[in-house]
Amino acid sequence: MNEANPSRQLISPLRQEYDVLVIGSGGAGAAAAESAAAQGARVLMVSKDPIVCSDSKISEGIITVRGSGSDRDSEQTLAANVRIQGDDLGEPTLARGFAQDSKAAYQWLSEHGIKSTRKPDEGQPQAMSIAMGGHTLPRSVDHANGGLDYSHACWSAITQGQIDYLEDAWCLDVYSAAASDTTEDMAASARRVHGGLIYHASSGDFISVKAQAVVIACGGLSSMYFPNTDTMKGNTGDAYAIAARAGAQLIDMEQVQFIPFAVSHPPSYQGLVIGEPISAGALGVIRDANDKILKAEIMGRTRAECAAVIARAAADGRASDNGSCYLDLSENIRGESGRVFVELMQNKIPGLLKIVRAAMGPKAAQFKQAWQVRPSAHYLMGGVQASELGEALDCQQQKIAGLYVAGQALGGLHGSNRLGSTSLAEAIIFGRRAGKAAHQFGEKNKNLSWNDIAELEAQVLTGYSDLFNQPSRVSSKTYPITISRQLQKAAWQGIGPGRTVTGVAQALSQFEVYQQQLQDCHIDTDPIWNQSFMDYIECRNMLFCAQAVARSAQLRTHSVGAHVQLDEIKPSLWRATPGPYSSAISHQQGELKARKLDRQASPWLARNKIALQQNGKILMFKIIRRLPFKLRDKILYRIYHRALGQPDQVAEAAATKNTQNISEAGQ
Amino acid sequence: MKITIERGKPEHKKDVVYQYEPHFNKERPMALDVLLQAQEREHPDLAYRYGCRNGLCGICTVDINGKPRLACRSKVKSGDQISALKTLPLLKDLVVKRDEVNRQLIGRLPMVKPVAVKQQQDHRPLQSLNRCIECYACLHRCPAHEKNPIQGPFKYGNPYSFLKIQRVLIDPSASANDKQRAINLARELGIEDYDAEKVPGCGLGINLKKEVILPLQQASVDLNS
Repeated sequence: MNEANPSRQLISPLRQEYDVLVIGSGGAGAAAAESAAAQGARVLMVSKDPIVCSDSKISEGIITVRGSGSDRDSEQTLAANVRIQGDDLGEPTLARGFAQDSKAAYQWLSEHGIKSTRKPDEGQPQAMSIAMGGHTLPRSVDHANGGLDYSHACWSAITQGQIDYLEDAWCLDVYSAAASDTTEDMAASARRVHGGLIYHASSGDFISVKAQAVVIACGGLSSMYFPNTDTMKGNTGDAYAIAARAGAQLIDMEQVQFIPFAVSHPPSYQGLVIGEPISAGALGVIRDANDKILKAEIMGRTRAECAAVIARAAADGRASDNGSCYLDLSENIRGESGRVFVELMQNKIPGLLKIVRAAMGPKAAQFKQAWQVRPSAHYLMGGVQASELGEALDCQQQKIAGLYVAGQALGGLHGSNRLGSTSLAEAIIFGRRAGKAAHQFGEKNKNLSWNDIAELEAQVLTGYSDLFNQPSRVSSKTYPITISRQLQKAAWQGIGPGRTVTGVAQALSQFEVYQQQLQDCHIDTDPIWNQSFMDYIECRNMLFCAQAVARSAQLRTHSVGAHVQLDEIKPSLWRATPGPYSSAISHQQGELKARKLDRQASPWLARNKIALQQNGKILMFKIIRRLPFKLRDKILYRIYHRALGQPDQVAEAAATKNTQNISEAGQ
Repeated sequence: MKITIERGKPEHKKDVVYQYEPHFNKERPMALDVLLQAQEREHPDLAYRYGCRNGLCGICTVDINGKPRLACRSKVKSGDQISALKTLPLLKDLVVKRDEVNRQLIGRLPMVKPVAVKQQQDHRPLQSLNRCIECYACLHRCPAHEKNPIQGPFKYGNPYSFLKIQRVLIDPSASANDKQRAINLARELGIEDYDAEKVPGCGLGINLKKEVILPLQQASVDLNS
């Protein structure tokens, strides 16, 4: 990069050639890169943060493994569970793919060093005894150090997997052009990608990568809601913005998952999640600022239901000054069962209780005082539309040849509600699929020279060079970080957990103002670690996504998903409720186009079976809550004790029994 | 509350004093709160790393009064100084080049093949090491890392890289060959000469001396005998 110069200077990049370029180094990136490399592909992984320092690493480390908790857990059961809980917005092929590969994905993690409690006889990982949020069966495997155990495995896959990688490396855009050649694979493709442009912040170099295939595995956009998020700072929607600019279609972008129970004060802890419906105990309730109970039987409810009551209370002025409600778990700690409940919580969510103690004090951490909570952005359930192999699709449903997505970047699996513990599995499942498919595509399409893509490369380079060729930018006093902070406030207000038609429209007009400001904001010319340039890139991508989320939100006027439509008009009895549909966003001639995409509804019987199951659970907790204290205490004691499980002890007991048997046999 | 932040590039460093405005009465802010506010109000191009704000991702490590700390989970008071880690090459302001640390392990660790489990294995020693969040605080005053040139490449190891090697040794599935390769790598990174009296501490509570350095040294001795 050159110093600011009134005459036009073009960035002169280093050029590198690979078979597969992987963007992102969390679970999905690690699985994609390792899988492609294992088949013989030359792989370059780029990551703007240090490798594996992603949402995977900071997660709770609980992973969906089909069959780990029940023998009845067929592929059909899991796939149906995923689709139905997502209100049928999800793509059936993706749900099937998820169910098919769930066991294999965990096997892959085992090969890279993850350790779990296993059923001694079968070598299968052992699920926790409770079914996690939305699951009809227990099938979630937990790990001693949460996401750290997972990320140590991903680290091994990346560093020991014959992969070249670059940290502090920002993918700015992928090279995407109209497909000119027609090989067998590309018959149905209008576009093809050829690599991408990287800014390597620690060396100051721009690197132009020629690659037959690109895997986008840098999903997530929750930083758009900073500080009301519990995710990594880097979640600025890069995956969606890069893919959409390359011609891919985005779906269900309004489906942001808000976790209901997060810290609202003090700032050092704001947004951090401190509980899930399942950790509220049988007797936990949500109260408003006037102590009125807004929701009970939380344990049987979805994250969305809980987030919605808090958002609604905030909109109606029944919440505290900062828009929070109170999660009151105090009833749980009474009696004998209370002792086990506390032990259970300390055992299962020690990290969350640590946050509670630090943010709200020891009384809160002992459940004696209610927790001030409000929702926090956690995950994007929508994303780039793709086939079950992770092949990105455009607005005509045609493949973009050579472009793949995996992990949170991939849209269409979860629909309107992501089941607990599925994201870490999804990352590996679709990461491996995308990595293998990218390698196979690359094998068949090696015929590309630098000359073929020179024009495309120059076009992208000119766009970025121009950012450094405007002297006014160097003197500008408006920095991209300032625009980002305004954008984050507006996003929380307008397209956060509580939405209205006018609120979304207002947000959209604010976003246009920020778009203008971004046109001539400050950008430095210093090549190494150019902070304002990187802030600009993040702000631009966040803004793109904010607009996509808002436009998608406009396609829905009733509450579907983890947010609540505050001004919805309940569908009347004589008007048929619309069938399930996804929102779709594409980027055409510099503009966003939004449309609905019809989805196939799951069979009536299957849907109602799950609904019945859920209502049954709520009814059970309702009854338990009203039982005489002694009886209630007895029942809860047993429930909590079972949940505590302590598989180590069970296994040890089994092992002791075995040795006894052996010694008895010896006698 | 006045906090000093060291800014600039390797060839030109300067201290700036930032006056932090507390969010509420008696707030004891974290270093990261100060950096966020400084960037928003006075230093819009301040370069610093952070990720999860929750002590888990390990990338916001800075020196506070000369000692390595996680910015997101370290309270600061008036007069404190925040500067970049001194153990790694400075890029700008509070950002150091981290990737050289992992370079010394790339492609050199054996990949342990999981063996079918016949009975419950005790993974507690391994899980204890998995608490490592890769914050690189243990490079500070590490007697081996101190011998490396600051710009790298790093010939000598550090508690972090030795921990990654020790993870292989205590894996119940590791074969004799895996273990031998791991020990050889530890030797190449200088485990035999490592002064066990000077093992740095770990903020996550891993006993780097007892859980990493001493067992590795013992394994190295055992391999010879």
